Amino acid sequence: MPEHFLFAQFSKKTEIRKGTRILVIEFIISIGLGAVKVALAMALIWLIAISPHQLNNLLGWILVLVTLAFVGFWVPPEEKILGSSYLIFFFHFPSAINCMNLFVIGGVFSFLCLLNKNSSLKLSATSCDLWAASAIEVGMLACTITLVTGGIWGRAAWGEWDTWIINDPRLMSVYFMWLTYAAYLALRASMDKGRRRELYCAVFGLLATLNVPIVYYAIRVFGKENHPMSLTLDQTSMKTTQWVGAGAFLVLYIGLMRLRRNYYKSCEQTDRLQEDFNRARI
Amino acid sequence: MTGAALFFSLLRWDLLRELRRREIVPNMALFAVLMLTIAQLGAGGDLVLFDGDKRIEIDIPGKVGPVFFWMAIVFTGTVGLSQSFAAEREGGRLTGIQLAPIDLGVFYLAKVAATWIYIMMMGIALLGVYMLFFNFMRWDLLPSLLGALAVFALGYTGAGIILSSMTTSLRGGGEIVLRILILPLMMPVVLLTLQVSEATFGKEVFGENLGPSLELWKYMITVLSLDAIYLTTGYLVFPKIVEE
Amino acid sequence: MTQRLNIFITLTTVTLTCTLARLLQAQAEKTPENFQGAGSGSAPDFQKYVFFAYGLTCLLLFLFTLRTISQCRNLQKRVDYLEERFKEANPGGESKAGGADL
Repeated sequence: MPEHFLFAQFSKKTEIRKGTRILVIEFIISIGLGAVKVALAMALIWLIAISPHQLNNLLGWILVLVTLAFVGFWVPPEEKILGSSYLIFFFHFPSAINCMNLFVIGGVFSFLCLLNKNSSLKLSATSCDLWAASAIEVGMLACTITLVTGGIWGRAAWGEWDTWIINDPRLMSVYFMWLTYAAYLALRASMDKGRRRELYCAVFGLLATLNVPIVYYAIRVFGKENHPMSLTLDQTSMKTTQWVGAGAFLVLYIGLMRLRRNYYKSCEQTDRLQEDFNRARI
Repeated sequence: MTGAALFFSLLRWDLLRELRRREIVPNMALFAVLMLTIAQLGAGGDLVLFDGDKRIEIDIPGKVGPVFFWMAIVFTGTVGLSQSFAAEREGGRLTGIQLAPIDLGVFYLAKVAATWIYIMMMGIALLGVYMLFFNFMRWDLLPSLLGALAVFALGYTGAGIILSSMTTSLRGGGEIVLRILILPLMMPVVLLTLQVSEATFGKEVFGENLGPSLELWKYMITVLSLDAIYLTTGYLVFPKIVEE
Repeated sequence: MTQRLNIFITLTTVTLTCTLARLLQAQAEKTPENFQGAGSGSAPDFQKYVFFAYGLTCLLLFLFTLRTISQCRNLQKRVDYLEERFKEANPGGESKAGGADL
């Protein structure tokens, strides 16, 4: 009896030791993964905020080509249910994710524009307005790509061009967002440059971004339950390509956003210069 | 003046003005009736098909009628919204309100309430015409239909007044821009309103295409929360719009 | 600056086209052996849709960049015009009109 008791205690100790070792290893792995994630986030922030925008664009295009290469050579050519048309997903998904991201960025900048009335702060209202406009323009591009690739996918899968508008609740929500932000661009185009345009576009940008989760969730919660194009991404190559594609397109879209914003800033500077010249009668 | 007293006096002022001038509600109602007339021409009767000797009657007015009803409300509401700032607009700017020493957020809420009343009046008139044209005799569904209309109109005016205060100072009164702005914002609400047709009109619109039929209490809660978002945003943002 | 951007865009498009062509070739070569079939043999040829989608995506991105480039060119013309105005007004002084830094 005592031997059994001692043996039980001994085996319990080894178990505890083994368990602790596993815990420690898991802890180290999680810290390592966390560090990798932090490093990636810092790299992204450097890329977006500090690096020159030409590098941003170049890196974006290179990563998009890498994704293309993955889709061409690594990912299996057929999927169980959808056949080879599922490859469109690797261009559809990054654009869908990034269009939402960009619209949210645009909304945040619109909100900041409404908060900052004076230009004494570093992030003045005009600057926020330019950032919001660029983000929403590039977001519209991403949205258009999502709808076009979604429509092509629908045609490939069901043989009709227009089934996505009714049958696919997710794509319908993207379509509603497209309409809302097209209205934003229409408002921007119909007004002359000035403080009023900044304010009105910021207000509508804010309303439109508040609408994004409403549209997103209303259609998912109350709409059709099954998404007709359900994918099973069970292989690592598929999952990696999906997220590499998302990252690649994010970098590219942010590069394009910075390009647009630089253009608007240059326009603004040229306008101010022209006004000064006119005032000085040069 | 306290907020509530200011709200009621502004509301009373707006309603009295409309009572004297009678330019918003009759015009809106007439426009809506004209829309429904065209709808009734195309979709007013049942569709009769013959499958050999069997005669199949498809109830088109029941299925398609609610769509035209809500379309008429949405499009006619823009007329009311663009007219809502007619009295305050001078030289293309809202100078009438800019100089007034009042809480502009309360002014916004009073405007929303007034326009909501106009749209409800127009909706009730339109409902009468709808019952005639589309043979809708479900008196038991009237309370739920009016409830859905009330909640829908609240969100519509909440967002619409913000947008009309912006577009009123644009070129050409901002008529077309107002419509382009308000309709995409209202799309999810319109979608939900069509989905609740079984509870409000007794017939499911589009079958299962939009999704399973929505229950009225779910609809009310969702749309009321959306209305709260629009009204809060409007209350906070309206003073900034007008101050420019 | 815009010239550098032009060169960069042209190079990227050329690389993209080459990769796309290689991808096409790879897909065409892969089909006979790796074809497991998604059910029956009457499945339509999805590949043309896939290429169509890729092509449209790249085309839309490229058109967007082209639009930015053409707008920058117009801006450059405006800046050049302002520089001329300044030179005419100040024949002896140095040019202070800053170019559009893109």
